[in-house]
Amino acid sequence: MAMSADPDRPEESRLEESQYGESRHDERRYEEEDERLGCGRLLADVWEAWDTGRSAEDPHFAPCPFCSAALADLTGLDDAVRRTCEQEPGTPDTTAITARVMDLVRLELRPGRPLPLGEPGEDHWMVESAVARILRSAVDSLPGVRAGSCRIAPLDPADPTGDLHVRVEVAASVGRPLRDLADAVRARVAEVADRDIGIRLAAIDVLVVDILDTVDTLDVFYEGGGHRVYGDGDGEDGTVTGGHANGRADGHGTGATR
Amino acid sequence: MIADTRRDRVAGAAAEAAQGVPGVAFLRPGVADLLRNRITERTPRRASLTANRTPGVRVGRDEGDGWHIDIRLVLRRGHRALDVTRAVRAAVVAVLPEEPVASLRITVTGIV
Repeated sequence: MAMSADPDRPEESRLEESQYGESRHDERRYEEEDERLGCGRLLADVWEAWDTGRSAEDPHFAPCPFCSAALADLTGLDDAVRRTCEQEPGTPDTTAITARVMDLVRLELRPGRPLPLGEPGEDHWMVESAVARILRSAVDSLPGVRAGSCRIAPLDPADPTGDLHVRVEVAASVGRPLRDLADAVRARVAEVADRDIGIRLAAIDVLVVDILDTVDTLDVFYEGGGHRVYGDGDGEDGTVTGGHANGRADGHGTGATR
Repeated sequence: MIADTRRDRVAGAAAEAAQGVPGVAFLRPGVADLLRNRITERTPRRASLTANRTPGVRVGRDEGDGWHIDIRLVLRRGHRALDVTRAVRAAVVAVLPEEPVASLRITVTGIV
Protein backbone atom coordinates (compact mmCIF):
# COMPACT_ATOMS: atom_id res chain seq x y z
CA MET A 1 0.00 0.00 0.00
CA ALA A 2 1.17 3.50 -0.71
CA MET A 3 1.22 4.45 2.95
CA SER A 4 3.87 1.92 3.86
CA ALA A 5 6.22 3.35 1.25
CA ASP A 6 6.10 6.82 2.78
CA PRO A 7 9.68 8.04 3.20
CA ASP A 8 8.56 9.83 6.31
CA ARG A 9 7.68 6.59 8.01
CA PRO A 10 9.64 6.30 11.23
CA GLU A 11 11.89 3.32 11.59
CA GLU A 12 12.38 3.62 15.30
CA SER A 13 10.39 0.78 16.74
CA ARG A 14 11.22 -1.65 13.96
CA LEU A 15 14.94 -1.19 14.59
CA GLU A 16 14.52 -1.32 18.31
CA GLU A 17 12.70 -4.60 18.13
CA SER A 18 15.11 -6.20 15.71
CA GLN A 19 18.25 -5.08 17.49
CA TYR A 20 17.48 -5.42 21.10
CA GLY A 21 14.06 -6.88 21.62
CA GLU A 22 13.10 -4.40 24.31
CA SER A 23 11.63 -5.94 27.39
CA ARG A 24 7.89 -6.05 27.81
CA HIS A 25 8.28 -3.81 30.79
CA ASP A 26 9.81 -1.06 28.65
CA GLU A 27 7.28 -1.46 25.86
CA ARG A 28 4.44 -1.10 28.30
CA ARG A 29 5.98 1.99 29.82
CA TYR A 30 6.53 3.62 26.43
CA GLU A 31 2.99 2.89 25.32
CA GLU A 32 1.72 4.61 28.41
CA GLU A 33 3.95 7.60 27.69
CA ASP A 34 2.78 7.84 24.09
CA GLU A 35 -0.85 8.09 25.07
CA ARG A 36 -0.18 11.22 27.09
CA LEU A 37 -0.19 14.54 25.27
CA GLY A 38 2.50 17.15 25.82
CA CYS A 39 0.24 19.03 28.23
CA GLY A 40 -0.13 15.98 30.46
CA ARG A 41 -3.66 15.05 29.41
CA LEU A 42 -4.33 11.55 28.18
CA LEU A 43 -5.33 11.40 24.54
CA ALA A 44 -8.17 9.04 25.43
CA ASP A 45 -9.54 11.56 27.95
CA VAL A 46 -9.40 14.36 25.41
CA TRP A 47 -11.26 12.29 22.84
CA GLU A 48 -13.82 11.20 25.41
CA ALA A 49 -14.40 14.80 26.45
CA TRP A 50 -15.09 15.65 22.82
CA ASP A 51 -17.40 12.67 22.31
CA THR A 52 -19.45 13.53 25.37
CA GLY A 53 -19.53 17.25 24.57
CA ARG A 54 -17.53 18.27 27.63
CA SER A 55 -14.60 19.76 25.73
CA ALA A 56 -16.30 23.16 25.41
CA GLU A 57 -16.81 23.37 29.18
CA ASP A 58 -13.21 22.69 30.11
CA PRO A 59 -11.18 25.93 29.87
CA HIS A 60 -8.02 23.92 29.32
CA PHE A 61 -8.81 22.71 25.80
CA ALA A 62 -9.11 25.87 23.69
CA PRO A 63 -5.77 27.52 24.58
CA CYS A 64 -3.84 24.22 24.84
CA PRO A 65 -1.91 23.57 21.60
CA PHE A 66 -1.68 19.83 22.24
CA CYS A 67 -5.37 19.28 22.95
CA SER A 68 -6.38 21.60 20.10
CA ALA A 69 -4.24 19.67 17.63
CA ALA A 70 -5.57 16.33 18.86
CA LEU A 71 -9.17 17.53 18.59
CA ALA A 72 -8.58 19.09 15.17
CA ASP A 73 -7.29 15.77 13.88
CA LEU A 74 -10.18 13.91 15.47
CA THR A 75 -12.88 16.19 14.04
CA GLY A 76 -11.19 16.17 10.64
CA LEU A 77 -11.17 12.39 10.71
CA ASP A 78 -14.76 12.28 11.85
CA ASP A 79 -15.89 14.56 9.02
CA ALA A 80 -13.97 12.60 6.42
CA VAL A 81 -15.37 9.26 7.55
CA ARG A 82 -18.89 10.65 7.57
CA ARG A 83 -18.43 11.91 4.02
CA THR A 84 -17.11 8.52 2.94
CA CYS A 85 -20.19 6.83 4.37
CA GLU A 86 -22.50 9.31 2.66
CA GLN A 87 -20.80 8.72 -0.67
CA GLU A 88 -20.85 4.92 -0.43
CA PRO A 89 -23.96 3.46 -2.06
CA GLY A 90 -25.79 1.07 0.27
CA THR A 91 -24.15 -0.24 3.43
CA PRO A 92 -20.60 1.03 3.82
CA ASP A 93 -17.85 -1.56 3.90
CA THR A 94 -16.80 -1.04 7.50
CA THR A 95 -13.80 -3.35 7.26
CA ALA A 96 -12.30 -1.34 4.42
CA ILE A 97 -13.02 1.95 6.12
CA THR A 98 -11.56 0.76 9.41
CA ALA A 99 -8.42 -0.53 7.72
CA ARG A 100 -7.97 2.72 5.84
CA VAL A 101 -8.50 4.87 8.89
CA MET A 102 -6.17 2.79 11.04
CA ASP A 103 -3.39 2.99 8.43
CA LEU A 104 -3.64 6.75 8.48
CA VAL A 105 -3.91 7.01 12.24
CA ARG A 106 -0.84 4.83 12.69
CA LEU A 107 1.10 6.95 10.25
CA GLU A 108 0.09 10.06 12.13
CA LEU A 109 0.70 8.74 15.62
CA ARG A 110 3.97 6.92 15.08
CA PRO A 111 6.26 9.96 14.88
CA GLY A 112 5.88 10.45 18.62
CA ARG A 113 5.76 13.55 20.69
CA PRO A 114 6.80 16.97 19.37
CA LEU A 115 9.99 18.29 20.95
CA PRO A 116 10.78 22.00 21.15
CA LEU A 117 13.33 23.44 18.74
CA GLY A 118 15.14 26.67 19.59
CA GLU A 119 13.95 28.94 22.37
CA PRO A 120 10.83 28.21 24.45
CA GLY A 121 8.64 30.89 22.85
CA GLU A 122 9.43 30.08 19.24
CA ASP A 123 6.74 27.48 18.57
CA HIS A 124 9.08 25.40 16.44
CA TRP A 125 8.96 21.63 16.95
CA MET A 126 10.43 18.38 15.76
CA VAL A 127 8.86 14.99 16.39
CA GLU A 128 10.75 12.54 18.58
CA SER A 129 11.28 9.89 15.91
CA ALA A 130 13.03 12.34 13.58
CA VAL A 131 15.28 13.61 16.38
CA ALA A 132 16.01 10.04 17.46
CA ARG A 133 16.96 9.05 13.95
CA ILE A 134 19.61 11.80 13.75
CA LEU A 135 20.98 11.05 17.23
CA ARG A 136 21.17 7.31 16.58
CA SER A 137 22.99 7.89 13.34
CA ALA A 138 25.45 10.16 15.15
CA VAL A 139 26.11 7.54 17.83
CA ASP A 140 26.56 4.85 15.17
CA SER A 141 29.34 6.92 13.62
CA LEU A 142 31.47 6.43 16.75
CA PRO A 143 33.90 3.50 16.59
CA GLY A 144 32.84 0.43 18.52
CA VAL A 145 29.32 1.65 19.30
CA ARG A 146 25.91 0.81 17.88
CA ALA A 147 22.87 2.79 18.91
CA GLY A 148 19.70 1.04 19.97
CA SER A 149 16.62 2.58 21.50
CA CYS A 150 16.73 6.35 21.75
CA ARG A 151 14.05 8.23 23.67
CA ILE A 152 13.85 11.98 24.03
CA ALA A 153 11.40 13.81 26.28
CA PRO A 154 11.16 17.04 28.23
CA LEU A 155 13.11 16.73 31.49
CA ASP A 156 10.12 18.23 33.27
CA PRO A 157 6.94 16.58 31.93
CA ALA A 158 4.95 19.60 33.10
CA ASP A 159 6.95 21.88 30.80
CA PRO A 160 6.73 20.63 27.20
CA THR A 161 8.82 23.56 25.94
CA GLY A 162 11.62 22.98 28.47
CA ASP A 163 15.04 21.41 28.12
CA LEU A 164 15.17 17.78 27.04
CA HIS A 165 16.31 14.50 28.52
CA VAL A 166 17.88 11.94 26.17
CA ARG A 167 18.07 8.25 27.04
CA VAL A 168 20.04 6.24 24.53
CA GLU A 169 20.82 2.53 24.67
CA VAL A 170 23.96 1.29 22.97
CA ALA A 171 25.79 -1.91 22.19
CA ALA A 172 29.53 -1.48 22.66
CA SER A 173 32.78 -3.25 22.00
CA VAL A 174 34.52 -4.69 25.02
CA GLY A 175 38.03 -3.56 25.82
CA ARG A 176 37.16 0.05 26.41
CA PRO A 177 36.11 1.39 29.80
CA LEU A 178 32.36 1.78 29.72
CA ARG A 179 32.55 5.13 31.45
CA ASP A 180 34.81 6.52 28.72
CA LEU A 181 32.54 5.10 26.09
CA ALA A 182 29.46 6.62 27.72
CA ASP A 183 31.23 9.99 27.90
CA ALA A 184 32.06 9.78 24.20
CA VAL A 185 28.47 8.94 23.32
CA ARG A 186 27.20 11.79 25.48
CA ALA A 187 29.60 14.26 23.88
CA ARG A 188 28.59 13.15 20.40
CA VAL A 189 24.86 13.42 21.18
CA ALA A 190 25.31 16.88 22.69
CA GLU A 191 27.31 18.07 19.69
CA VAL A 192 24.83 16.84 17.08
CA ALA A 193 21.79 18.01 19.05
CA ASP A 194 23.11 21.55 18.88
CA ARG A 195 24.90 21.60 15.53
CA ASP A 196 22.52 19.56 13.36
CA ILE A 197 19.14 19.92 15.08
CA GLY A 198 18.82 22.89 17.41
CA ILE A 199 17.31 21.27 20.50
CA ARG A 200 18.24 22.15 24.09
CA LEU A 201 19.44 19.21 26.18
CA ALA A 202 19.48 19.10 29.96
CA ALA A 203 20.64 15.52 30.46
CA ILE A 204 21.86 12.56 28.46
CA ASP A 205 21.72 9.07 29.91
CA VAL A 206 23.68 6.34 28.15
CA LEU A 207 22.81 2.72 28.86
CA VAL A 208 25.16 0.03 27.61
CA VAL A 209 22.82 -2.90 27.09
CA ASP A 210 24.84 -5.24 24.91
CA ILE A 211 28.32 -6.03 23.63
CA LEU A 212 29.49 -6.01 20.03
CA ASP A 213 32.74 -7.98 19.98
CA THR A 214 32.93 -11.36 18.25
CA VAL A 215 29.71 -10.44 16.57
CA ASP A 216 29.48 -13.59 14.46
CA THR A 217 29.76 -15.88 17.43
CA LEU A 218 27.29 -13.85 19.44
CA ASP A 219 24.79 -13.73 16.59
CA VAL A 220 24.80 -17.49 16.47
CA PHE A 221 24.52 -17.56 20.22
CA TYR A 222 21.55 -15.17 20.19
CA GLU A 223 19.73 -17.08 17.50
CA GLY A 224 20.30 -20.38 19.21
CA GLY A 225 19.68 -19.27 22.76
CA GLY A 226 17.09 -16.59 22.14
CA HIS A 227 18.43 -14.29 24.83
CA ARG A 228 21.09 -11.70 25.47
CA VAL A 229 24.31 -11.89 27.40
CA TYR A 230 23.30 -8.88 29.44
CA GLY A 231 19.87 -7.67 30.35
CA ASP A 232 18.28 -11.05 30.43
CA GLY A 233 16.13 -10.09 33.37
CA ASP A 234 13.54 -7.37 33.49
CA GLY A 235 15.47 -4.91 31.34
CA GLU A 236 16.07 -2.17 33.86
CA ASP A 237 18.16 -4.11 36.31
CA GLY A 238 19.93 -6.30 33.83
CA THR A 239 21.63 -3.49 31.93
CA VAL A 240 25.10 -2.15 32.40
CA THR A 241 24.66 1.55 32.94
CA GLY A 242 27.67 3.44 31.75
CA GLY A 243 26.03 6.83 31.74
CA HIS A 244 25.52 7.45 35.41
CA ALA A 245 28.80 9.18 35.98
CA ASN A 246 28.01 10.53 39.40
CA GLY A 247 26.27 7.45 40.63
CA ARG A 248 22.84 8.97 41.02
CA ALA A 249 20.10 6.49 40.49
CA ASP A 250 17.25 8.78 39.54
CA GLY A 251 18.13 8.75 35.87
CA HIS A 252 18.07 12.53 35.61
CA GLY A 253 20.90 14.99 35.68
CA THR A 254 23.57 12.37 35.38
CA GLY A 255 24.88 13.62 32.10
CA ALA A 256 24.22 17.33 32.08
CA THR A 257 25.67 18.89 28.99
CA ARG A 258 25.47 22.49 29.98
CA MET B 1 -17.39 31.32 1.23
CA ILE B 2 -15.41 34.54 1.09
CA ALA B 3 -13.71 33.65 4.36
CA ASP B 4 -12.87 30.21 3.00
CA THR B 5 -11.39 31.69 -0.13
CA ARG B 6 -9.25 34.01 1.93
CA ARG B 7 -8.21 31.17 4.18
CA ASP B 8 -7.25 29.13 1.12
CA ARG B 9 -5.19 32.02 -0.18
CA VAL B 10 -3.34 32.33 3.11
CA ALA B 11 -2.75 28.58 3.24
CA GLY B 12 -1.61 28.46 -0.37
CA ALA B 13 0.79 31.37 0.06
CA ALA B 14 2.20 29.88 3.26
CA ALA B 15 2.64 26.47 1.62
CA GLU B 16 4.38 27.92 -1.40
CA ALA B 17 6.70 30.02 0.74
CA ALA B 18 7.56 27.10 3.02
CA GLN B 19 8.18 24.75 0.14
CA GLY B 20 10.67 27.16 -1.37
CA VAL B 21 12.94 27.17 1.69
CA PRO B 22 16.17 25.17 1.24
CA GLY B 23 16.09 22.14 3.51
CA VAL B 24 12.35 21.58 3.19
CA ALA B 25 11.85 18.26 1.38
CA PHE B 26 8.05 18.50 1.31
CA LEU B 27 5.10 19.48 3.45
CA ARG B 28 3.55 16.60 5.27
CA PRO B 29 -0.19 16.00 5.22
CA GLY B 30 -1.98 15.18 8.46
CA VAL B 31 -4.58 12.50 9.06
CA ALA B 32 -7.48 14.58 7.77
CA ASP B 33 -5.55 15.57 4.64
CA LEU B 34 -4.56 12.00 3.89
CA LEU B 35 -8.08 10.77 4.35
CA ARG B 36 -9.51 13.58 2.26
CA ASN B 37 -7.06 12.78 -0.51
CA ARG B 38 -7.97 9.10 -0.39
CA ILE B 39 -11.66 9.95 -0.61
CA THR B 40 -10.96 12.34 -3.46
CA GLU B 41 -9.21 9.60 -5.36
CA ARG B 42 -12.30 7.46 -5.08
CA THR B 43 -14.75 10.17 -5.99
CA PRO B 44 -13.13 12.34 -8.67
CA ARG B 45 -16.28 14.30 -9.43
CA ARG B 46 -16.29 15.75 -5.95
CA ALA B 47 -12.63 16.57 -5.93
CA SER B 48 -13.20 20.28 -5.84
CA LEU B 49 -15.35 19.93 -2.73
CA THR B 50 -13.14 17.70 -0.67
CA ALA B 51 -9.53 18.11 -1.73
CA ASN B 52 -7.19 20.07 0.44
CA ARG B 53 -4.93 21.93 -1.91
CA THR B 54 -2.37 22.63 0.77
CA PRO B 55 -1.63 19.41 2.64
CA GLY B 56 0.79 20.07 5.47
CA VAL B 57 -0.61 23.53 6.15
CA ARG B 58 -3.54 24.17 8.46
CA VAL B 59 -4.99 27.62 8.83
CA GLY B 60 -7.54 28.74 11.38
CA ARG B 61 -8.84 32.04 12.63
CA ASP B 62 -10.48 33.17 15.83
CA GLU B 63 -12.94 36.02 16.16
CA GLY B 64 -11.10 39.33 16.20
CA ASP B 65 -7.80 37.52 16.17
CA GLY B 66 -5.28 36.86 13.42
CA TRP B 67 -4.55 33.70 11.52
CA HIS B 68 -3.29 30.60 13.29
CA ILE B 69 -1.03 28.79 10.86
CA ASP B 70 0.29 25.27 11.46
CA ILE B 71 2.92 23.94 9.06
CA ARG B 72 4.23 20.37 9.10
CA LEU B 73 7.24 19.59 7.00
CA VAL B 74 9.78 16.91 6.28
CA LEU B 75 13.39 17.98 6.52
CA ARG B 76 16.05 17.22 3.97
CA ARG B 77 19.08 15.55 5.55
CA GLY B 78 22.13 17.77 5.94
CA HIS B 79 20.19 20.86 6.99
CA ARG B 80 19.98 22.06 10.60
CA ALA B 81 16.36 21.66 11.66
CA LEU B 82 16.12 24.90 13.63
CA ASP B 83 17.68 26.98 10.86
CA VAL B 84 15.14 25.58 8.41
CA THR B 85 12.11 26.20 10.64
CA ARG B 86 13.28 29.76 11.30
CA ALA B 87 13.75 30.33 7.56
CA VAL B 88 10.27 28.92 6.93
CA ARG B 89 8.81 31.29 9.48
CA ALA B 90 10.57 34.27 7.90
CA ALA B 91 9.45 33.21 4.42
CA VAL B 92 5.81 32.73 5.43
CA VAL B 93 5.59 36.03 7.30
CA ALA B 94 7.19 37.78 4.32
CA VAL B 95 4.53 36.59 1.86
CA LEU B 96 1.65 37.61 4.12
CA PRO B 97 2.44 41.28 4.78
CA GLU B 98 -1.23 42.30 4.82
CA GLU B 99 -2.46 39.41 6.93
CA PRO B 100 -2.47 39.40 10.73
CA VAL B 101 -0.63 36.24 11.79
CA ALA B 102 -1.48 35.50 15.43
CA SER B 103 0.52 32.30 15.64
CA LEU B 104 2.75 30.31 13.35
CA ARG B 105 3.66 26.80 14.46
CA ILE B 106 6.23 24.85 12.47
CA THR B 107 6.82 21.15 13.10
CA VAL B 108 9.44 18.92 11.53
CA THR B 109 7.70 15.55 11.27
CA GLY B 110 10.37 13.58 9.48
CA ILE B 111 13.68 13.58 7.72
CA VAL B 112 14.67 12.23 4.30
